[in-house]
Amino acid sequence: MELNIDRITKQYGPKIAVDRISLTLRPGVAGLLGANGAGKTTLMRMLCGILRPTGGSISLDGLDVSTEGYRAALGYLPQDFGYYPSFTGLDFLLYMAALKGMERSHARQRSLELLELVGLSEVGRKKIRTYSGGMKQRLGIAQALLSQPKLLILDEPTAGLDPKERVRFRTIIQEQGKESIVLLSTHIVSDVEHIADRILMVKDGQIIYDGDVHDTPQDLESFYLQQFEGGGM
Amino acid sequence: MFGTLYRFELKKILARPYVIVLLFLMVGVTLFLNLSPLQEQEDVVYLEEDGSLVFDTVSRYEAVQLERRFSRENAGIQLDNATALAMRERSEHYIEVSDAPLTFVLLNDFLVEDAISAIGVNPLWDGTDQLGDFTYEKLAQCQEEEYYNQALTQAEITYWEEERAGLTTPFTLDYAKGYSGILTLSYWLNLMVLPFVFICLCGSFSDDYVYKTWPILTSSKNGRKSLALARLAAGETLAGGTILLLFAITAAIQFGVHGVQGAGVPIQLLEVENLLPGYADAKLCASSRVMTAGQGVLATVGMSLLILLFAGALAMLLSKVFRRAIPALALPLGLLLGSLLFAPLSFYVYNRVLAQIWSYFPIQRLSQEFLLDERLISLGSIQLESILASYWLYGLLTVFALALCFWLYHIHTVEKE
Repeated sequence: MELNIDRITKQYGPKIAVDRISLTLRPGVAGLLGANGAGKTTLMRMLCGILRPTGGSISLDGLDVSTEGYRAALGYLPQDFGYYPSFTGLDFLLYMAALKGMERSHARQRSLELLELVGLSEVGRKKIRTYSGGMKQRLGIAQALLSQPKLLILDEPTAGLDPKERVRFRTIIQEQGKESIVLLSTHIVSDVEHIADRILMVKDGQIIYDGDVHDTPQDLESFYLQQFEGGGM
Repeated sequence: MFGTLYRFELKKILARPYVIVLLFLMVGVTLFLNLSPLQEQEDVVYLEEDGSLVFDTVSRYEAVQLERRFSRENAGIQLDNATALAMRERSEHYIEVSDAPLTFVLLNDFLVEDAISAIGVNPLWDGTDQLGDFTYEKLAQCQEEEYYNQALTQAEITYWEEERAGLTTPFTLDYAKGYSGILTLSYWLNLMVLPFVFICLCGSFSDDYVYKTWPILTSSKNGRKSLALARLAAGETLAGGTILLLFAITAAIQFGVHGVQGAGVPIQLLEVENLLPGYADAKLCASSRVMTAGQGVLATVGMSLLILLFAGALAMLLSKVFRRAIPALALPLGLLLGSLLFAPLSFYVYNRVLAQIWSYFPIQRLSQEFLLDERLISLGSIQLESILASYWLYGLLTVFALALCFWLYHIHTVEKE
């Protein structure tokens, strides 16, 4: 299984948000690190097919990003996760399951499993508007995992999670990364340090570092700060 | 999958607390409009089977049951000189022997009396013994006056004169108050449901932006065409379902109280009451259409349904265009309010074309004069009657609005900027 990103570019007028990024991702967890405005979210939105690139192509096992087959294999948690406040948590997952093309009986079982996994089983039948920020974020993670996606894209997934929830999240993602391609973006180094196999550092729309998490010359946090102070490698 | 998405889209609309509250409120108002007139007291005079004359004050409901009882005995009789004269003479006799301070018509002759009154003739007028013929002359006069009121061209007048030659006289009478009751309330039912539909559907597509769900929706397998179709179907279900629900409640009560007989009565014998005090009732005697009470109700319900479907489609389209619920609500609601308040009297006096265009605005198509509109639309050699033209117009507008909304959703699922 391969996600091929070939010279993907996004330009807004004179500003280049993503500058000819080329990558191949395989099953495992890749962490996308970068400061605010580096281009992480823009890249991820193009990978999810909701933002049209100015140039380049994206494909998953030969399926172009614009196809229904690509979207069927995708699980996505956006940076600013939205929901319908009048839905219960379970309703929302069932709704998302229908959008992902899951059969009803399987959708229900999977939704209940995921509510249990993310620690929301006791509030699954309560309206989302009553959830705390962390609970909403966990619901977002659950909906991204619904269809056991081959490609899981998580944009700032740990925002709003407390330390205990962060640990639970890392376990879930590590498990997911065994058989799927997981790309998670963050500017919190410790989030990726423990779970990512591969680190991608983004600055000004370009990949300035692409390597194994253990191959950095110093500890990851120092190395990361050095890249953004020193102008990259 | 479409079915599941459709159910959830419907659930999303109905899950908002104000939707259920408004729905219950509308049902309550419908029940009130149907049932409150039945409580009013009225004086009745009738002959019992033993020949005794009864003066009584009863509720409207009881009066209706008496009307039905006597109408059943007379159902199928024809409105002609003999029946009209018999009705008048019987009432005159009992007015004289009872020494009552006011004139009355016996409820036993309700069918005949009501038919003559509907055409605008005093049933006790003694200016002629050919009261039946006089009534039909008055009917023709009403119809010709209506040609003048609507500024019909000679070609249109010829068309309607040929049409009304198909009216079978003498009229066969039956009790059709159930049908006129539905026609009386149709305007008010529509007036309730129109803003309800705008309120419920103004956020149908804009909510994706307000609640920031559009990234996860459009990045999912069925989040594009399937979702758009399901959402449009759910919105139209709400719009059409609500008006049909209120009509069903009205029909159940009206037919429960008045009975279902009378479907074949010509519309010329129906009076559509105007519930606004000080406003005249709509006298369908001025219509030249060959149409029965049942057909008139079906035509009105059909028109209401089409207009509400258009309203739903328009609300969803505006929600997609503006990406915000407030303008999507304000625009159609403002137009509705404007068309309610603005009465372009000058159109009717000076300009037949503008008056005709105005008559196709939704609130005009829902008015009690809908069945009276005899202005034709010329399409080359084809003359379209207003009912058919209205159906086509609103049907096409609905399809256009839905198609445009679907297309906009489709082209906007992937952001370019």
